[in-house]
Amino acid sequence: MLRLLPGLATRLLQGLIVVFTAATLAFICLELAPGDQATALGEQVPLAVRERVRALRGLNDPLPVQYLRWMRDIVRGDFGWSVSQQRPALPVLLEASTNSLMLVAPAFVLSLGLGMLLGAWQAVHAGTWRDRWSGRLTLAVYSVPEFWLAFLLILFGHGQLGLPATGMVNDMHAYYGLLDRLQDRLAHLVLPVITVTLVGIGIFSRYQRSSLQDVLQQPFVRTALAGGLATPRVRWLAWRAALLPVLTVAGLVLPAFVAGVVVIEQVFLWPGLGHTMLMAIAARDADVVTGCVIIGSSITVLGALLTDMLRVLVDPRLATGVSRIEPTER
Amino acid sequence: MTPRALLSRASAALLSALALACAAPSDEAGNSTTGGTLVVVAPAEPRSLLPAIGEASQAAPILASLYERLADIGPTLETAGDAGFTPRLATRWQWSSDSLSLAFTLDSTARWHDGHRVSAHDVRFTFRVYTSDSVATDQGSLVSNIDSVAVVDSSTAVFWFKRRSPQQFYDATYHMYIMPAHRLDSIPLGRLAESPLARDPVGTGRFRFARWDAQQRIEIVADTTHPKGRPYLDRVIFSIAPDFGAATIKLFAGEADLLENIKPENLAQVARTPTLRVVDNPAMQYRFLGFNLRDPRNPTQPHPLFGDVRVRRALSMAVDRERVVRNAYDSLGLVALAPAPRALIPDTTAFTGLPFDLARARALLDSAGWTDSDNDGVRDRNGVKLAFDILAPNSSPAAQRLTVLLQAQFKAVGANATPQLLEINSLSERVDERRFDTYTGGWLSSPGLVGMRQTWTSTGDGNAVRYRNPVFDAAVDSALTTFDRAASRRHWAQAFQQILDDAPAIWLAEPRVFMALHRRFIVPPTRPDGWYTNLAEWRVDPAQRIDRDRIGLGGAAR
Repeated sequence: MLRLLPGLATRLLQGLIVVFTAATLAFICLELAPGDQATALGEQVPLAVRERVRALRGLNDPLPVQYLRWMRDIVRGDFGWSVSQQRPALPVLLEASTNSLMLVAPAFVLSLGLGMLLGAWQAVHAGTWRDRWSGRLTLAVYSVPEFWLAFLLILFGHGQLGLPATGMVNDMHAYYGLLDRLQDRLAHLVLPVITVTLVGIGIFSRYQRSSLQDVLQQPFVRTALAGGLATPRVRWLAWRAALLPVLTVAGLVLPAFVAGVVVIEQVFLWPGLGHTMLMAIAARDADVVTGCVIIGSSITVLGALLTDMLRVLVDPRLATGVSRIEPTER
Repeated sequence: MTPRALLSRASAALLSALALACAAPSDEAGNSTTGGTLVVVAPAEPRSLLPAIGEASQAAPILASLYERLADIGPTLETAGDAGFTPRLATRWQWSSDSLSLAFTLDSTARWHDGHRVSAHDVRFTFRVYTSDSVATDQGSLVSNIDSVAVVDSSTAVFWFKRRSPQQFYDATYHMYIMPAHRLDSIPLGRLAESPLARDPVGTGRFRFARWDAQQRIEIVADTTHPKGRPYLDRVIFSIAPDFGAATIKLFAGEADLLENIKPENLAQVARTPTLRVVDNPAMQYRFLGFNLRDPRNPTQPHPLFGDVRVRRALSMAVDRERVVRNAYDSLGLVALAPAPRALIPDTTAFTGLPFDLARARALLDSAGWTDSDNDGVRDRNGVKLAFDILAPNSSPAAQRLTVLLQAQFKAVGANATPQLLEINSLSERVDERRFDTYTGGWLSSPGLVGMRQTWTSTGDGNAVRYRNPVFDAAVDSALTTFDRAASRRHWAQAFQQILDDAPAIWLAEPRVFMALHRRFIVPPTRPDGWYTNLAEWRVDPAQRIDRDRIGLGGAAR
């Protein structure tokens, strides 16, 4: 791992540039988009009032002036002011990130774990009816629009099982006792987590199946089996060798999960990062939008970094620069 | 347990029982008439709960419950004079002999929710906020006839007016919720939005603020010590659901009790749901298709098509509004008569609109020189086609249906209309910058039609089509300033006839608005100025209570 440190510093610097570029692009795109914070107040607010809002908030300043002002604040750690929520943007972003993590963390772990298990099972049974039908099923679930999947689950989960349909907690949550509050919070997680998990399983199982199937066809597997190694042991070793593609895709999917489950958040009224960003875009709430982009791109960078580190852990040859086993002659 | 402790406990128990008995009046069956929880699905989160800053529609029900005005407008929404108004924070008022000043005497029992007494300083401070250039409030222009507010003593505030008008009392009371000076006057007005009270408000209303879980819910609870009596309900929770689909899930799943502005396609489902009922929610709104009267590329010039009144009148007569409204709104809309909902028009028989008459429409376009010279189905004149865009918001299915129907109807007289569905901010920007040929718009009217100046007169900044007619302006001005009620009706009739003749827009529809409400609520008739106006009078049928109605006013974990 120590060998990674110089590379790590470079990667972090590159990550910083990526985050900065993404945030700048978000700022510019939002400025170039039709309308601004004052427009978003709506037609019912008189034009003169909207003009005054523009003057008070410096929205009439040239774009470079606004950009430099925004950049100065970001460097100072000031994420600005949310005009749509009339409070500092930082708590808005922190709350949204926490909410997203509450939904995404269990869903990510579940979908990765279950997806890998399912994919491995499919690879072992490759070509059989079990592989074909489970593959079709996961593909079908993956292909279904997320909102439709969410509605189906609500129909079943709420209609048949009485699970809460929307929100992070019941509106009466504050009046519950401690245990009831915990139960309420967990019950509200069930349907959204299952929705995200089902989508994730479709991704991870396919990668796991494909990579494990490739490895299982490698000569070393046949050799190990012919040499008398127990099948479970051989499969375990093959599974470890097939982890790299899954870990790589997991690192890329994680940020998509955190900031990209907008539709699911909308249907379940879950005020996570994606939902917050969508609302902020509609309200032309520049500070929140750029803040969401900074968080989203930071997670992407960190996800990629984490993946690289995990890949090295799984396959130490990657740290030495040896990317594949070279045939050696005896 | 010592005798002293025992006595203390017994006293506490007795006091609690007494308090409960006082706070919860009982009906004949012995059931408490107070109590209950109303969960309202709110389509958006308010920006702020400070009046003057947060007075958008999403904050309106909460502000109306937390704060009070000096006096409230009556159910007839009569804005002239003070006869229809009922005292709120003010117990009485006195006009000066020249009617240019009005002294309000404040209710000596009125208290802010933090216990401070309401004083005339609060009134003066409120006026300062509403008229400050540092606070961009949309009510500012509506109180422009008030010159100043003076404090005579702690319970008397005097409003000084610039000129006499029938709406003086309405101006002084309707537009401003009184704000607590003792909590806000140390904050620069430009930074008022950052005040802690913006998210933890202190008012004088019959409900007090309880909690705000960002992007999730806002809760208000009954003020049991309010001098005008506690509201029947224990609490109202505004549960925030920006996505309409999710809002309906919440309603039909029984997680919410009220959904405002239910869509026509959901009405049948509400009717099929045994726990819900549909409540008429009279709203003072109307929709129109506005013609840009000036050239978008050169505003000094008239619009090449719509600068000619004959074209506007012809297109107005080409539209079968009965059919359009029926197709767009089914039975949930009425044909608009004029730029005002019929409930606010003093006399709907005193003017006549343009009829649906295709033959006259075609003849009018012929006489204006618009003919189909190349037989392509679209009229033209001097090489210019009778072709234009209709801007509409992509978020409104009703507006989209309207544009498609209008397109078909215009085609029948040789006009080529192209609907352009835009994201709401893009549409607003195009309308603000007057970069459009036509657009589908709508206004919520104010009581007494006082908003007509802002929306359709030549000085009104909401007049996006740039309609200018001094006769209309004068008629509106006269209607709003005369003290003679009969004369006011005549002036309104003249104003409506003039604008209908000039046809700067096609007045399309007055959508009827409905809300879905849980059947256990017993509610007074809803008023056009807001379903929440009498929220303190809403109650739950004791026989139909559900779990969340039985929680009581006990403390919640924060």
